Amino acid sequence: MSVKNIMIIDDDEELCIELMQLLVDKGFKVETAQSAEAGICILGKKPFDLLLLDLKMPGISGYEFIEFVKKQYPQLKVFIITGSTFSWEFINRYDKHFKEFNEEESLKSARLKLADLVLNKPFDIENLINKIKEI
Amino acid sequence: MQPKLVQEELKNLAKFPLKNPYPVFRISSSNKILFCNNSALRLLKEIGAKKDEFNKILPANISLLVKKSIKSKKIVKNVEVIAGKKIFSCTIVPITECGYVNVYFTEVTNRKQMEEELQHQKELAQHYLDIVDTIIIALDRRGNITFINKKGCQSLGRKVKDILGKNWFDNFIPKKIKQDLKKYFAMLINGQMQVGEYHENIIITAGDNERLIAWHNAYLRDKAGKICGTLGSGEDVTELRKMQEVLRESWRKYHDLVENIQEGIWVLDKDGFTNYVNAPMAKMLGYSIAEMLSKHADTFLQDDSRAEFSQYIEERKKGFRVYREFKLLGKDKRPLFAMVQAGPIYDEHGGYRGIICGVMDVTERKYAQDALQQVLRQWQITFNSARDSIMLIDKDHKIIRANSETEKILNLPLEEILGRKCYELIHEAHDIIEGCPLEQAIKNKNRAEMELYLPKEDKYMLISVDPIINEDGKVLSVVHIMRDVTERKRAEQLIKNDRDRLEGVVGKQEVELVEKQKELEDAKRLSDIGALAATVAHELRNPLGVIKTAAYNIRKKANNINLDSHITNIDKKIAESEQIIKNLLGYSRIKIPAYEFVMVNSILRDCIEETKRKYLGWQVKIDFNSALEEAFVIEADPFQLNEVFLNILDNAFLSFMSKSGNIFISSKIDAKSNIFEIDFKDDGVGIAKENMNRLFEPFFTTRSKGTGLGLKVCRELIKLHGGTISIESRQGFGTNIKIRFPVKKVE
Repeated sequence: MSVKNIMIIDDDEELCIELMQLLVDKGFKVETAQSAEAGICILGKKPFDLLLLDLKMPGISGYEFIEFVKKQYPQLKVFIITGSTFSWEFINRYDKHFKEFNEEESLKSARLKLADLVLNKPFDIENLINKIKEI
Repeated sequence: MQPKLVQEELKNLAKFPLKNPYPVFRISSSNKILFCNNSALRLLKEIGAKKDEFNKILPANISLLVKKSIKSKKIVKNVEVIAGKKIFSCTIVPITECGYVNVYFTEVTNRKQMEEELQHQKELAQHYLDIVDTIIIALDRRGNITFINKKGCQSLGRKVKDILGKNWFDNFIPKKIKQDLKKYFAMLINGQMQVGEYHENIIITAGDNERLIAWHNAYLRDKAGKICGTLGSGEDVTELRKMQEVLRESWRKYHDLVENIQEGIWVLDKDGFTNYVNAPMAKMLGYSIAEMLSKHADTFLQDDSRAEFSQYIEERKKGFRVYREFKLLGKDKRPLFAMVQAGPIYDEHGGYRGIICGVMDVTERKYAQDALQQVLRQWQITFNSARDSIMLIDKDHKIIRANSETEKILNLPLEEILGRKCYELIHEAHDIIEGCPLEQAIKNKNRAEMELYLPKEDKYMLISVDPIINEDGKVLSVVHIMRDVTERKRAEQLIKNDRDRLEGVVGKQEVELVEKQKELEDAKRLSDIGALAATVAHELRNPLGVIKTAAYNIRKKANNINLDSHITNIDKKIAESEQIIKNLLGYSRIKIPAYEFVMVNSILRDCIEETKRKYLGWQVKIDFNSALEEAFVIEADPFQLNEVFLNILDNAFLSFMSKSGNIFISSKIDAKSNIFEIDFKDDGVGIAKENMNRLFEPFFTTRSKGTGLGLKVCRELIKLHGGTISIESRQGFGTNIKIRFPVKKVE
């Protein structure tokens, strides 16, 4: 099994460093970017297996970026790591209500469904590593 | 004989012939008639004298004249003789050589008469010049006075001799105008200016008084027609001018008076034509003054007022003094109402000359009066249509006015009401009753009321009395309003009967209302908290994520047992923080439930397990007893249910101070009302009595750790499901929480 290439995009620099350290220690190859704009460049350089993506970022947000990435690199897995109140179950359950209430929320929800996994911060590290290994 | 006399004699002799038309006599020195001609004889005959009665036609002193003439040898001329109606002039010619004289008669009757007439005229002229009230003064070319009449002397205050020959300008003209007048005179004399012009100037009289004289000048010319002086006739106008000034002033005053008064002044002549109008009069009718003059009065009167106006004028001639209203006609044909008072004008002989009218425009007043009448009529209608009895009563309780409703209530015609005392009619008393509202209203100058029962009619009346107060604050009269309140009174009685019962109901509702209000306030607060909580939770989660990852990395890298316990503490605190965030987020989740069919028992079991995991190592026994099948399904929001159960279980665990205790849980369904019921019982510390009613207050907590939001969130979520939560507790014995909510979704 080849070494997995992971890309982290989060505007929190410390998170990027700590998470990269953690994953490098686990034997993954990791690149980081602090904005979606910077991430696009890196993504174009070489193939990646996984993208760890934050939602709330300055400039292009995670919601917009996931749509772009999934179109451009259909093979690329995307895990959302977010501090917001969304949860994976939540998204799936509340989807219909969003449609009723709010167009914007509904759009966000639809985009989130493109993700392979949504993790709330602070996430369970062991859980994350397991999920990565499952890819 | 002197040749000259002889020649004279000869000449006369030549006339001597008997043909001489006038008498000729030859008289000797001894006064003897030597000869007479036929004319002399005719004259004698004419005057009826005899042939020898020559003395009747000869001058009376003829003998003397003859002697004188012969002696002096000179001709005596112009001896007048009157013979009958004729007058003759006699010339006595001495013929000394012959010793006699010839007496020649020449008839001068006509000339004499003319002379006399001339003399008379002259005397008369002088007389006139002296008696005329005009100064007559003649000046020569140098301006010296050549004639002045008596009046002139009087005016100058000097005698004739002191005036004649003096220079007019140097002596009698004030210095200030002397030069101007001299210049004027020079031009006059030189013909550069026409005489006959009228001019006035001041002269100085004897006492240095100044008089104003108005002059008319004429030229004096010599035989050749050359101007040799001027003749001026002057009139002393000093008094006249003063009078005129007084008159002018008086006219001005009159004019100001007439033009400035607001009333119109209209003067008609005896035939009714306009002689004079002042500006307000013309303005009133919209004409100019000129347009009105000479027009007949009828022009300015409306058709129906004309006859009346002329009748009025006739009456006024007889001296009735009255104002009367007439309808005048403006220029634009608009009708005017005017108040007219006329007074006849008589000339100095008492003859009627016309009439002067003072005219006042009362149109606006008239319209105002009409409007007032209208208002009064309306008021009367209103007054009468009122459903209450309204009376106007004077201070002595006498009824002045009453409306028709009063007649109905008192059951009396109006004539029997007016003038009566109010207490007689209303209270059937003979004097002012005790507590009379009218007396009170007058005394307090304010509304007074009283309620009155009329037993005869079985009616209740509400009487209100309002004083009418004049500008000085004195009460003039009162308005007495009587309203039939029988119906209201009865209704009041009914209400009173029901009041106690109602009060109970209302009181309860009031309590509920207060509660509801409080809940509303809480809900608002919750919504605010929810928004805040979501933001804070999100912001905190990011750093927590980093801390957690960093701690993990440290643990792996350091691989040091000494550090492990510290890192474990960090992890613990991160977990606690996560719990706080979750609790907070619970708030943000208070929203309309997303209903699903959920297996409620299963959710409850999951929650029990989760809680047990959380409080690992605690000696807590949980007994869950359900009367329902495991697969029993209700309609609810699983997340919200989860939240509720976890919260309640958390509280139960935390009530065990010694980390050990029992929890009894039971669930059942009330088939009748189709309500699902879960009971949580613990034997923990229980809740202090004083805290019981604060359990659902947000942020209320007795624990050192805790947001004080848990129960509040529970209750809100249950409420959203249409359910209830009730808590019973005894301090030291434990707590019992009962949750009930409908099986089916509440629409």
